[in-house]
Amino acid sequence: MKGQIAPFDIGIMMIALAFLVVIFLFLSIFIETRAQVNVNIIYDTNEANRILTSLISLNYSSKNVYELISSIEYTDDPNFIKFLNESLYGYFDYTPKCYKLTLDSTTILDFKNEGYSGDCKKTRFSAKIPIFTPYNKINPVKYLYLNYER
Amino acid sequence: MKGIFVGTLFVIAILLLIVGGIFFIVFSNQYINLKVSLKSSEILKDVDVVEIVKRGLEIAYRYSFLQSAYYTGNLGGYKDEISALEWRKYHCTYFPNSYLSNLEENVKYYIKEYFKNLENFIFSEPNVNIVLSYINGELSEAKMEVYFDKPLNYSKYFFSIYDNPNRTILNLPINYFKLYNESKKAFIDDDPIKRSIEDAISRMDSNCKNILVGNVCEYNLRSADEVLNERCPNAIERLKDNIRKEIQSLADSLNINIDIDTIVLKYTSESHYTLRESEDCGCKRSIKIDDEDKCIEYYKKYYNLNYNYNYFAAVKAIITFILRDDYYLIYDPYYGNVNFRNLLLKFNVTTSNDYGWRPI
Repeated sequence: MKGQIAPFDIGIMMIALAFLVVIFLFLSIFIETRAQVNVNIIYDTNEANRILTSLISLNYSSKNVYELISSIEYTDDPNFIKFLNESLYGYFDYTPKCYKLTLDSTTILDFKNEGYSGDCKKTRFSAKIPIFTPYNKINPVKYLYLNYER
Repeated sequence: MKGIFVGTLFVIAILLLIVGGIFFIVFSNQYINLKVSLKSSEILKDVDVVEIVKRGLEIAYRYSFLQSAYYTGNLGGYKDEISALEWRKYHCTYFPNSYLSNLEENVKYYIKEYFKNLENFIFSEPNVNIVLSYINGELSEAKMEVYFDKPLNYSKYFFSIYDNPNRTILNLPINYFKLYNESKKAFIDDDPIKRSIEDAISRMDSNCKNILVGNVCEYNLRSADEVLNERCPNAIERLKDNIRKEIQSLADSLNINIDIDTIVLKYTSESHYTLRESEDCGCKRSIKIDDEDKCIEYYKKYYNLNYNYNYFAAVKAIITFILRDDYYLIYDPYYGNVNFRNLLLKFNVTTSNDYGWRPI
């Protein structure tokens, strides 16, 4: 019987093979899930920046939104604020719990859904971009912040 | 049986090694993937930041131009306070022929101020070129080219993004540049304030310029000042008021502001007469000379005594040409704030109706 594999050994190998198949299946599902999670991380962490970039790139009555936001401390145009609010709201495919758009310490938009009690400042979704404002000696570059919570 | 047991252990050991190896590879890959994901995410976020800054560059350059135009215009087109000169000092004129390059230098300064306040960005030295285009001798377009020797560099710990920061800013306010030509024509090629002074003097009452006293005995002779004070009281004050009115009317006609900083006036007098002895002018007057009373006799008379007065005025004025219809958000260091302000061109002139007399 020399040269033949014993049935016991075949049994052990089958069990090992089955075990390996299970392990591979498990790892494939795990890798797929993790990959999706990673993509979501990239998507989520970048979402606020994307929204802000899109918002800034819009035009409002022959002027661009960037310029209007940069000078928002010196102007008072409720229609522009309304336009910003509607535009920003349109970027969400769900109703956010809250969102807040601020230029340094100046609050431009502040929305809170019913039931949300926070100040919408340290939110999971946030973006911060530099904005060139009309020249002043102290601080010619200010930061525009977008915070929101899903 | 012993052989089977050893064989089984051997297979299990190999199996464990394979499984362990797979797990090791998978989890270390996961770790690497997670790190790659987080870094990719960071890069994507920063790409957005660079994108926004790129969009904002044109606006920052435009703000820099406006600030420079305001600052340079306030200094009469000169680069800074140290180099600023009065446009006119009597017959000498100092028009800032290099006002465009002064403007460009100041734009550079403000652009660098913006860049100083940006985190993680590195810009090379900016170059600024203001280009004016003319059609039939008329200024038709003004634009500004801002360019750099190297691309902008946005750097973080593990990556750098390079991009082109060069921009051309179109549609600069051409009326601002026209101010320089208008002002030059008005106050360098001509001296309207001198004319205003001359007009004010010519409009003075004739009895302030020429007073016929007539025939006066020697002992009754009064000085030109006394006579002027009697016939034309407060002549200097009245002339000062007239000059102010003339200059205000000049300002209104040119639609500019003229603030008088200093005004200095004087007059000189000449007398014309014939002096000879007259019998009706006999007079003896006793005066003390060396403690002794001595008598002086006056017999002469001034015939056709006539006083002529010449007036001189020198004025230092601050001239301001203003673009009244255009408001821009501009920082004024005097007020220390940003507000809607007009672009302007402001300079000083000092002149007089006689360039030989220079009291200021």
